[in-house]
Amino acid sequence: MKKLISTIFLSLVVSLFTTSLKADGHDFTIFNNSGMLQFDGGGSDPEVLAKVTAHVKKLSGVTPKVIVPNMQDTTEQLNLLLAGSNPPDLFQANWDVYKSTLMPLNDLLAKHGDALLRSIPETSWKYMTDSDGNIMGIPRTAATSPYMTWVRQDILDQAGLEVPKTVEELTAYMAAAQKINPDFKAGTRAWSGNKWEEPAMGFAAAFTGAMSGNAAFIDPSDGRVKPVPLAPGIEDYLRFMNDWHNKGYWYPDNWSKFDESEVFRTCNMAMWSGWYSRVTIIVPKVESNCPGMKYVRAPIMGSKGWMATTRASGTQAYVINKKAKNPEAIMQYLNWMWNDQSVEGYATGVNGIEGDHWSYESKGMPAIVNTKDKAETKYVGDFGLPNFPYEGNMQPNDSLWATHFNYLGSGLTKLDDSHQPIDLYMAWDKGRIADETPTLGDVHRMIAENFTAFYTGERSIDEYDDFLAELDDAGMQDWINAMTAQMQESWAN
Amino acid sequence: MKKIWKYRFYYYLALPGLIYFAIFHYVPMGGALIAFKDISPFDGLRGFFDAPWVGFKHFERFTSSVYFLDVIENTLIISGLKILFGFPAPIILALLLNEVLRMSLKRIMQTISYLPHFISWVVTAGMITALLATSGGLLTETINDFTGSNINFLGNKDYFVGILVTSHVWKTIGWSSIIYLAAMSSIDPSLYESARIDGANRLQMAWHITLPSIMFVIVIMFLLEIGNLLEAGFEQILLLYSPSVYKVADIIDTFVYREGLLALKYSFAAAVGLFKAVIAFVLLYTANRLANRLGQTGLW
Repeated sequence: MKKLISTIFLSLVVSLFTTSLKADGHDFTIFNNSGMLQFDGGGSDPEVLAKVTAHVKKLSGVTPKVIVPNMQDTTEQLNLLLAGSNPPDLFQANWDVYKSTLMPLNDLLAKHGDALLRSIPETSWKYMTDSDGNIMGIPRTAATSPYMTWVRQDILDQAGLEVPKTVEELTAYMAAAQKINPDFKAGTRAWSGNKWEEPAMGFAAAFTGAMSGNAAFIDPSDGRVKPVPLAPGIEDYLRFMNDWHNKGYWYPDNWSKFDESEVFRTCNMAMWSGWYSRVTIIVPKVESNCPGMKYVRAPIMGSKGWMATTRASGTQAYVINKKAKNPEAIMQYLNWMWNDQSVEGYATGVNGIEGDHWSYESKGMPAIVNTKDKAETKYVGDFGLPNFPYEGNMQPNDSLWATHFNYLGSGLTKLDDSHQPIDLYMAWDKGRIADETPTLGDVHRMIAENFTAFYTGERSIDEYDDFLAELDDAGMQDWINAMTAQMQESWAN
Repeated sequence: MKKIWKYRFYYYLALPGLIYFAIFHYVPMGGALIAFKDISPFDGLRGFFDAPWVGFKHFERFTSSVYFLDVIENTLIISGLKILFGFPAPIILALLLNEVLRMSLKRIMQTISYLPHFISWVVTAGMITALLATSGGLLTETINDFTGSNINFLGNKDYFVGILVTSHVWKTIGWSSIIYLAAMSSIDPSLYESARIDGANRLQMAWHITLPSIMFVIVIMFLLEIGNLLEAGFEQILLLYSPSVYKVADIIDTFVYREGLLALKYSFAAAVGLFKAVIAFVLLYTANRLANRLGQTGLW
């Protein structure tokens, strides 16, 4: 009897195991945290997805399975997945942070990556290579100038002004805008936790000079890498921000919860200084409600140079888990996705099946494609892996997206009206910096909290030296040591 | 043993629950060990065994943070205010609902009060932002129309904690009142009849009969609240706070989220979690002893 029960139990387990394997016959898994599914967290219709999966298999020769992000914070979800028993094989991450869990790609690229090696700019590969020469990921982006200032042509016309070129002219523009309509205000992104690259490499740079990806600069007096609170000119920047706050130019929500999409919808955003796609993606969707509203790029020159800073392509990459069982299939897939001869793979990943979900308006590189609404096709782009500047090769024949795609190939890569940072061709190991600066989180919080207080006047800028002393107490010197050591090592190499 | 065998069917009924608690609540306690190690989250189970022991390093890191006292204070203040206003609110609501004689009206009121419980914090935070945004916020614009002042409620330390407590009470008042209504339904009606004959009015009946009869539930619920004193509402705060209000809003959980989970320092996050659990146990134990000494029903 015991034997019989044991046999039945074992058979059940084995059959369940084999059934699950058969039902789930994929070559590898993708955690698509690329941002492609940011607004489509529910994923595609399962039946449509099954058809697209079969189509991808037919064209690429491999079968990926996509894990759709369903947590608000995809980084947290990625960390949980990686710590679990079935970690994803392919995902997007800063390779320097996740290095211990990744597979070097040199051999795989040599064997299966000919097309994508040609597609991606050579400079971007530099950021993927560690000090031992291992290529740790496929670049997600290239050097760009995303932190631009935008003003409105319709307001300029009404005020009889030209596009502002200096900080003073920008201030005059805001004054004129508020004379026309007191509700016209300026939007930007505030310092927040460790997400402070944007204000540092945007508005602040006009007063402090170029900042790196760690919002740091090289102090010529001692050659050490220091964070932006120590930059010459930083107090001028804070006074300027406070002056605009007192004059009522900034949206007060800039410093708390700022819903950019909703604010653009009010038609009152007279100036935007920050991530470019707020203008290139959101504005075309809302401008029909705002007759005459038209944003123009306004490169501004401050006392220390351009207001914008070039953003290095950095270490953001598509990476392969070292536990992946079928890395060759993954590389085969990526080589198909970003092929230098055809956008077939990319267009399929983003839009679905050619003929059913999209069609060519014109072939070539770039190609123009006709797409259908995702609500209609019920495929939301699960297999799509955006890659800049490659994605500029597929231009949708859609007026809502035309502005964005045109900008990808023009303004975003225009680097001659932005600062060139010290680390343009250097990949920081941020994980190591965090390890060597145990209180980095405290320092980040202190800067974000106090800069906001300086903007709003809650804390007087006369107390700036006290603030620096507080930063020292919080461990800022460890941070300086960690960044300086890496920069010196990079130069030595 | 004989007793166990005699009542074996009751034990069978309890078995799934016991297994659930063993697997999901007791076995994971072993994971607390990583608070004393330097673990990489990507090394899986191997890392759990192989990672080096670091003693109290992560606890020291937490207590040596310049914000340690701030986050403890904020956690206790926010949680304390939520208990101060949020704990009696459902009891009062239940007492009021208990006095409603028309069943249809009572049910409508109950349903309306339960609804916020089913709205996630993500949606609630969106609603709060839509109400309080300085540009286009319904409440802010209305106040602006009448007073001419454009208040940044979500970026102002003076208002932020009030917003947290108010939205917490709004969201929980109805659902939390269910248990008190259930306790009230078991009160012997003859007590009310006797009181009525003796000339007691409804307020006196509520005070002298209803409240004492549900006191055991109130005490147990209060003890459970005390055990959760260090849970000040992570999701709610994370979705609403910003650097402008860190000073009053950064609690232990948001601190750990930034320092531990986003920075991949899982050992640090585990250390703070263990710290919280120990404090919560001490608080619960003390409150339970106190309840027993005062002659009330405790948890044990």
